Amino acid sequence: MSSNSSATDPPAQRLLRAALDTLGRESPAHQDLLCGALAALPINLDIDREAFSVRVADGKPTLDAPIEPPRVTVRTDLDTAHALLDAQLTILEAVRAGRLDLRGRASDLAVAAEALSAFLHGLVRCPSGGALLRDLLVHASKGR
Amino acid sequence: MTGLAGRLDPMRDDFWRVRSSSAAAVPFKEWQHFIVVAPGLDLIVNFNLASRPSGSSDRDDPPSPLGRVIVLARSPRWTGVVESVPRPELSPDGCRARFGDHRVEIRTTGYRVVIEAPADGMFVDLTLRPAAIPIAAHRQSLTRGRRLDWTLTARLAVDGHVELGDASFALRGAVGYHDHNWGHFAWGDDFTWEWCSVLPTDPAADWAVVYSNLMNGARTQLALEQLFVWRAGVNVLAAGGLDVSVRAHERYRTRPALRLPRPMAVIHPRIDSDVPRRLEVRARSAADHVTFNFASESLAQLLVPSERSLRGVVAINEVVGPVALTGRIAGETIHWEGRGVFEFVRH
Repeated sequence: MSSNSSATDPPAQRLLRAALDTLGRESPAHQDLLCGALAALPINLDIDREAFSVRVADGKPTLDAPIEPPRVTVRTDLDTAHALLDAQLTILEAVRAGRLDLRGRASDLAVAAEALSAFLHGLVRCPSGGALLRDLLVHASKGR
Repeated sequence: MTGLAGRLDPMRDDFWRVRSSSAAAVPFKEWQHFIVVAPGLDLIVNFNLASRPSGSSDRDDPPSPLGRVIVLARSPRWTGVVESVPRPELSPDGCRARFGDHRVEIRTTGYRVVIEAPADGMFVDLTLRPAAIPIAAHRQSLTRGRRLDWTLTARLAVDGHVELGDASFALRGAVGYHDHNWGHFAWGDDFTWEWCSVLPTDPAADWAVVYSNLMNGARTQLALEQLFVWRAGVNVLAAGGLDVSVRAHERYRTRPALRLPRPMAVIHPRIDSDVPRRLEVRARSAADHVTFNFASESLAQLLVPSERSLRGVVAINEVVGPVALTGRIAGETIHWEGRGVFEFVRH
């Protein structure tokens, strides 16, 4: 899997890649924070059956093939991702409803939570963050 | 009101101060804030500008400020929008500002506020005419090295139209409030404020009240506390320091009805807003005195990313509720019911 492709990416990877690129441009301090967490723990993602990982390569967060064996796997869909970011439901509510599946040891999940925190704290500080959320809404709507 | 003619000229006094977003050690911020209260409607509209973060790129030289529009409305459910505007447009005289599809105009006779947010089912077109003599403060210290200038008009007459989803409001002679703030500070600096506007439920009752305090971030030190009362557009009571006392009763524990921007709610899951269920405010000046009781009825929360820490959040709690005011001013006993919009800033 190439970490430099974008236009031909499936939607979840395209959206996440755009978000990571935005983070690097507009909030590099949070990109560094995210890389610190990912360096200790690459994360496997399965979003709408797109399976890939987020890891650090050349000092930047990068999308790649799933890690084997996985230490943390997050399984969900774009509709749920949008619902979470639109405050329609909390992470706990999504897990209870079976819309978000988190697997890993407790200590690894804590590191993954740190990575998510760094990622979101950075994106909300990015001037282009609103456009990313609107793009996610478009793709989430298509999936319904 | 004829006695106020000539003393109310927003175009002369209330224009936008920002002209560019030159890099500064401390971020520059400026906002024009409007509140409208009408039967079945509490509306807050805020247009704000901020200097671009250091290191961020911009094709303009000097760089243009970043704009943001915030609308919160309760009718009776809360709805709202926070929209970033990368390139707001300001007229050279600072009296006309366009934030994307939204705009605010400052005229000799008052203000015009237009919000066009069809994707959010929101449309606002209001004319607000000052009905009270404004007050101002210059270079007010927020905390060490941080200062803020502000003007406020405690009462305005509001006409226009508001659409919120399926709800539609035609406003004639509704009441409103306006303030304008500008200065250099960072969200997350060591200060908080609590502030409220109180306007009578009966628009014919020509009163207005503003209370505010300024504290450190931990809310252990009170730097400033003041209360002002206007009647027929004229300030009739001004109290501060030891002449103002506040008592908070219980804690408002209802989950915020709205949290914006929505993605912030994922990373700031706390729902304990740390606001009082009821607030009793007393003020006196010589023989005059007022007491008002504010009851928290509903809360919407703005979550502002801290500029001082990578994961910090500053919560601005906008709380609305009924107010009962009593007192004695210029030998006359007063008593009226009103609507309060309180803002509690919390770290």
